[in-house]
Amino acid sequence: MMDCKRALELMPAAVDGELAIPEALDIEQHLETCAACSRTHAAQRLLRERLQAHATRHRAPAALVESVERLLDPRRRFRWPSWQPQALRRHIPSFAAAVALGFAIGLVLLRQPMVERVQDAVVASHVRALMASRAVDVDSDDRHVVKPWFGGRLDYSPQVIDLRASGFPLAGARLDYIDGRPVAALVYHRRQHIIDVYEWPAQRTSNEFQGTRQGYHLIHWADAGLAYWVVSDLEPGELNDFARMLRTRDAR
Amino acid sequence: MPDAARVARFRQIALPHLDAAYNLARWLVRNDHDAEDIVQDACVKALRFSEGFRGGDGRAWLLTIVRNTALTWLRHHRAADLTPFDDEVHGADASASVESLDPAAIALQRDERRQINRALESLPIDYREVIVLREIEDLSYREIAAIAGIPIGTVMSRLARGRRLLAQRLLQTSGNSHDGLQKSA
Repeated sequence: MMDCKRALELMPAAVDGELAIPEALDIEQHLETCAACSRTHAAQRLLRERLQAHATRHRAPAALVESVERLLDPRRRFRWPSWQPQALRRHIPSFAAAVALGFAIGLVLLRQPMVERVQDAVVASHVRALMASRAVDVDSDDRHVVKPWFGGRLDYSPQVIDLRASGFPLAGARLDYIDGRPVAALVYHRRQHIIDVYEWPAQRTSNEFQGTRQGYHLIHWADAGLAYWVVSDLEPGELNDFARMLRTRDAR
Repeated sequence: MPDAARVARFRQIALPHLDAAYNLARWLVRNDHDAEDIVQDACVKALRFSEGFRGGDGRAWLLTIVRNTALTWLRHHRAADLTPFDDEVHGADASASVESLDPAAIALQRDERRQINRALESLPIDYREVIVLREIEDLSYREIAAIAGIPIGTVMSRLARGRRLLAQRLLQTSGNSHDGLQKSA
């Protein structure tokens, strides 16, 4: 025979209809004989009924449905409004504005995919290295070993900074290939987390970036002619600290 | 997988569950605009990973992606929303637990929708999440466990705690006296 303690433990599952048949029968029997538990059971069921009847089920707004459809149909991504010639004449000023806006958007669109492509490439390289368990080509925690290793392998000299004292020891480095060129990948670690730092000569000053892609956190900046990309699954706060330390040592 | 096949697969397994996706995102982040962004972002991911879908329930699959996207977003933008629930701070009061609620007293409360929504929105995210999946999306313990990445036992205990808190907050907002709400013993 089930006691009240056990009945209360199983109550949520009983109310949700998630009990196996023997337990469901046991609790049913208990409820018939115990007024207190029976009352609890009724109260929980009532709460469920209230929630089901009254809690709002938010529906996807039309704008969202539309934007997801656009996502699925590449042809519709750049659809122009269907202008009539008279309407065009009547609205020459707004037409001009639209052209200017279109031009501006065009610039952004041209720029955007390139930036995103680099982000994707950086994350892909990081993931590939993790999966292949080939994190490093040169296995050393000494910057005086790692930095010279790149000599002759790259036509630039990457910054290698020792952050061991701050709890981010160097694990080594490897050569990677991103966006059509060989790049330096420095590997740091923090507890079980691997942090990759990619460095290559910046073509021009690019915007700083910070964000998440496929669950990995990315931080990007450029400094003294080098573009830096930091990527890891480390918690964003810690990764920010790490990036800040890299940057400030750079600034010396 | 070619792009067209990926899109076809997405249409078949994910698109029918856009409302469910939005509902979960909306309850997790608690505003329309951010919820739209998150669902949009989740759909991009779902589209990209649609070949990783190995059959089963398309809704649970999409909701898992939405949930992860929403939590990542919250970590970046509103980390305070993810603060674990603390009994000491929030003063969970056992005397106002579900067990002590009188059905009649609950039934008397007015302006149900507003009260229920507000109480549910006020719950810590761990409890809000399982209650939304259970009561609004009508998912089983097993499905909720898979989506939230927690054991079934944890689903059950979070539901129990969440409901207790919810009942307690409904009582607070209703301004009801404690008549008829004595502990049944």
